[in-house]
Amino acid sequence: MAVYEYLTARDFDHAWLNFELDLPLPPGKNGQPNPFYVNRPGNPARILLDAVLAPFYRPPKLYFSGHRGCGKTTEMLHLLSHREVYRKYWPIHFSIREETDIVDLDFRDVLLAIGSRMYRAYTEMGGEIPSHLQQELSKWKGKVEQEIRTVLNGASSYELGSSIDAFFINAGLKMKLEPRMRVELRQVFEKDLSGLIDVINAISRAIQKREKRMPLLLIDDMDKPSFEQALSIFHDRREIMAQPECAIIYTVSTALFYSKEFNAIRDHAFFLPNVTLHPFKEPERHLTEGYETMRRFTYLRMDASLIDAQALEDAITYSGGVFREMARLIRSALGYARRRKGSQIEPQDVESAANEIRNEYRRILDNNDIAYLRKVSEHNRLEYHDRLRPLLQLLAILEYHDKENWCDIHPVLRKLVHEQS
Amino acid sequence: MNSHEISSDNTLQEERLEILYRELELAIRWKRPSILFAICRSEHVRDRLMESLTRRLRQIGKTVYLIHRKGGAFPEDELSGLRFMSNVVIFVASRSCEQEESDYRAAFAQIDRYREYFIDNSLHAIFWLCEREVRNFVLNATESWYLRHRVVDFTEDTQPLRLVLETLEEVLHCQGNACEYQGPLENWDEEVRALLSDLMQSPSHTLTLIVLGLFCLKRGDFQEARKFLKTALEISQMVNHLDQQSYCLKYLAMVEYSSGEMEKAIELYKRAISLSAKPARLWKNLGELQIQQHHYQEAIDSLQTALRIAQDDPQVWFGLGEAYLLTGLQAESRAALEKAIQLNPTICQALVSKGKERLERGDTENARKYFQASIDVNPNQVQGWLGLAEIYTLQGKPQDALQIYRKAVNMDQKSREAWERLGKLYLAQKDYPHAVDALEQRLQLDPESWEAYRDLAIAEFERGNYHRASYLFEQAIALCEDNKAKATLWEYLAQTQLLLENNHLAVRARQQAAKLSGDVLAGAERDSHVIPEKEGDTKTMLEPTHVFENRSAQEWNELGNSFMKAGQYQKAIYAFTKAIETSPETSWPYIKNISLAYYFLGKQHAGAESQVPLHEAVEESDELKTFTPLEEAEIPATPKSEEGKTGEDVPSQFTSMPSLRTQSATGVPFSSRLNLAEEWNERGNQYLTANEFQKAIAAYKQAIALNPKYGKAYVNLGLAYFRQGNYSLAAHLYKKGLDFLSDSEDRAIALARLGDVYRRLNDQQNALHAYQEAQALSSQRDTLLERARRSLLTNPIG
Repeated sequence: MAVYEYLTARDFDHAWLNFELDLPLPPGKNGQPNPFYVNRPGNPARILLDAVLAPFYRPPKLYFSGHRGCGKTTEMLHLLSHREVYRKYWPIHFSIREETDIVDLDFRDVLLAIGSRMYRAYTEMGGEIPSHLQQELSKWKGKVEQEIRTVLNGASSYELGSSIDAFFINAGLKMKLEPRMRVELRQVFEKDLSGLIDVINAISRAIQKREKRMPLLLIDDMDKPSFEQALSIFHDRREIMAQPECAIIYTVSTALFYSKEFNAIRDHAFFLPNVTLHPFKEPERHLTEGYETMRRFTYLRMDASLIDAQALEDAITYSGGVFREMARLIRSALGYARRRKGSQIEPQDVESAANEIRNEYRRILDNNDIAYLRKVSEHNRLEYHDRLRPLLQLLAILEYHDKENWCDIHPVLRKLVHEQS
Repeated sequence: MNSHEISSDNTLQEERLEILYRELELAIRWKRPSILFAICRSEHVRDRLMESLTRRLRQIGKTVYLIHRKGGAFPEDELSGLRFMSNVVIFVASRSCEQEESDYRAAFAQIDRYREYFIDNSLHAIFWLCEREVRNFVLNATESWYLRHRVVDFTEDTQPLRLVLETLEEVLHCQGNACEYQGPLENWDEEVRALLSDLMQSPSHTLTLIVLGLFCLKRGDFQEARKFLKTALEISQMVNHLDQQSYCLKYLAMVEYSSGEMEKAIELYKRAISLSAKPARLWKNLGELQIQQHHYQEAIDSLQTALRIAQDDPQVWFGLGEAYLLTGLQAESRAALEKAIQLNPTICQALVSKGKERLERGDTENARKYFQASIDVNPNQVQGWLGLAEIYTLQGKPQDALQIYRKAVNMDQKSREAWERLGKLYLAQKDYPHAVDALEQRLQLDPESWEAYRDLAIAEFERGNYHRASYLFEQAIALCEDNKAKATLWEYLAQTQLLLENNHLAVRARQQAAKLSGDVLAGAERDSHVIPEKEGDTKTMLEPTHVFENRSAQEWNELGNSFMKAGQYQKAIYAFTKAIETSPETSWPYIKNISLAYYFLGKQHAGAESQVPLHEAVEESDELKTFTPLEEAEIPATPKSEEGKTGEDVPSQFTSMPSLRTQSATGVPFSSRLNLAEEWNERGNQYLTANEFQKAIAAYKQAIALNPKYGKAYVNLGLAYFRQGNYSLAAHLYKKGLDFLSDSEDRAIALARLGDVYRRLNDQQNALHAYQEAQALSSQRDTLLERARRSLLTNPIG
């Protein structure tokens, strides 16, 4: 998809495209919010924005968490459309997956990615690197290459690239794609970690000096590595990870967010809950604000004439306030409506779509799971259970936050839980 | 079974298939990724659905690339290759009966590693899961499951009777089980369906035992089959159920037949006949068996008896015709076969099949009889002619064969086989334009066949049309499902890309080939030679490797020369390299030619690498015609006594060697094995730099073979093994190399490397000694000391 226009669909085929589950929502030109972006009631991402804009003594390192499909990436991208953020920062958004192998991620990989992306983003935007920094970087590059040569038994032909750009790109690629080389490079960087941090800071300072703004790195997909890897980066190496002199927002997994080890940095962490659609323990009552948010989500992507009002209401209920689930339901319902040769999505189409998702769960959940889900459905309480984590992962249990944290089962499961009780 | 039930169920499946198709169609149209899951009740059903969807996708110009997960391995390399192929829909499926539970876990967990790969590269993929796999998948690849765009369930609402039938069918098809009943005696499907139908109508122990016996027979478990069928026979004897006894005996005969016990089978058939109320088919089966056992007269008797009961059975007439044919009764044979064809026009094919069967056994004479008989009874069917042509080819009469093939394609322009054979024979005759034309026709008739793409690609390659060859190889790769064949195709593609000077693509293709072959050593061998031809496949069958690789060194050299004349120096370098690899013993002229090729390419450093002085090359520049065919070079054989010499009596550098033409004129001795060893060592270094370890190892080994006292080659070979993680072997080779190295710098490097190996082996004491020795010898003491210090510090004992 070369250019995506983010236009409200007036037919089923366009609607299918607009409800794609992996559609990125970057800000538009001139920092305008993405046309499909939906602001939530009392947007919790606002707290993150406040934290980013707050005065600081040391550049902030913030952690952004939330359940799957709740819109973390969208909110991160949306931050980029805030004028105040632009005024204060020189933002760079990237996914850690582009730079590293997230299956085998290490704090050194993250640091190299930070330095590399900052340097490349700056030079790609036409930023000039002062000559003294260029010299400093060349010196560091030479040192690293010499180290690598030594580690690799004197292979004289070993080159990471003649320019600094090429050096960063090649080193990053090797870290990402060549597991053996990764080990060697990590050894090299480990030997002179302060050198690497100095380089990052020198680049950051150069950017600050010319742009009069501090670099702000929004690093996406940091919630994808395993819990253990995330722990070793954000907990075990938290002091080193705090040293880069630039602001950073990392996404982190809910598993890490809720771990006791995370307490050490929890003050800097923000959680994006799902959109609340009903009050605690009152599943039959609809919260207008939540429904309105999901309605806007739908109407921005698809003309109102393409969906019956009741069908939309049902779809919202079944979505549980999870944007990704909403997109999934609408997409399936579109298919059913098309096969019916209907001109709009009717409640029966939504019901079929919900049924489809319910059947997916039916295959996965066993009797113990169902019993536990029934309990959750009755009490709306997050209590420890050995199946809690996997069920949260599967979105069989959804978490909400108003005055306090509470949870409920995925609404499509109500029928399943009920029929087996 | 109510037919309406089945048809409504089929409609349901069609609807679900439509959902999948529609999802893919939209994703393709909008150029967005599509991650779909299809859940089926069984592998049998799944395969049917996959086939059906594949057909539909091909209609809209899409190619389906099937990835079979086997064991715990998920073919990462295949995926990384697919990223570069547009127009592909990926099907991922597994063969569950080959997998253990733990394999599933490993395979699914591995998929998780690729969860976003599909999205990032906008791939279109369907994960085909059987019902029993779903939970495992979700538990072990939760992230991938979360990324699903749509799950289409083909298992809902299945009618109970259909479910029973599908389950039984599944067992009978027994996917993935190699040993299946192949006997020609029964219409298997018909037989099984009849039995199942009986079983459903009146369930009984005997019938159940018979069905179980058949399952075992189908699976190739003859022992178990015998047990079930004998028990069934005993029960039916006890209740004096003659029909069932006859059934049991018939199936026992099939078991014996499958076990190769033909005479026992014949006896059992006779017993079955004696008990059966409807023995016509049994007589027919007995007759066929007797033909196989060369009891022609008895076969004629049996089949005539069968005819008396069922005179309109074309198969009986066919068997009779066959028996007459083999006893030399031509007229009777022809009459019987004509009757068979009159009753069933398609039966003529059977004669051809028999002919082919005989041909495979090497019985050309009888094969000819069958083919001729098929032509006699129907001169307008192509297959018999093709059989005859094949015999001509085997007998070394290609022109006669070509004539028949041409006749065959004129008779039936839609005969894929005829075009294919014609094309291949032209190819073997090096008539490339005609070969391309014929194979093009074949491809048009069979656009889903990877072999068709491959053969045409080879013809285009031979014609020098590399761009088209490359495209065709890619198509063949996309369609081919067999990893071994696919590895070969990647290899061809690599060679084609090399000739197109797309070196990075060539490297990638070669990597794919090596990884798919699953045997790195075999991969290395393939680089230098070929996959062996199949036994008995030496006739008109085209072995692509033959066309590509079985050139002699002289032929490669000639090819190189022609490239040089055309100014295609990269291609020339490739051809000369192949010449050297093909004949290392006489490689001097080729090395010389490579040097000149590099020179003209402007790669002076590369020319230097081949150790021929550039000034010599320059001197020769006015005689491009000096890319002399080898036969003109008169190269003297390498004296055996030179092996292992220290180099005093042979030039240590190529610099003193005269040019090729001068050399041939003056008769100066051919280059020493020592120089060749250096050449191979240098080649190994280049491979090592490119991380092509197997090739590097092969090159170093070649260097050592040429000069067993060449210390550097041992050390470098050790380094190659070190990089592969084979530390013990590396240590051994470093030590061996040290035995032959005298230069202190060289020894220092070898010792430092030895130290590194000891370090990896956690032998810190020896590592320390090695580093100390290295330091003492080296002029770069500081560097080595630093390395030793850091190595030992970063890898503590224990």
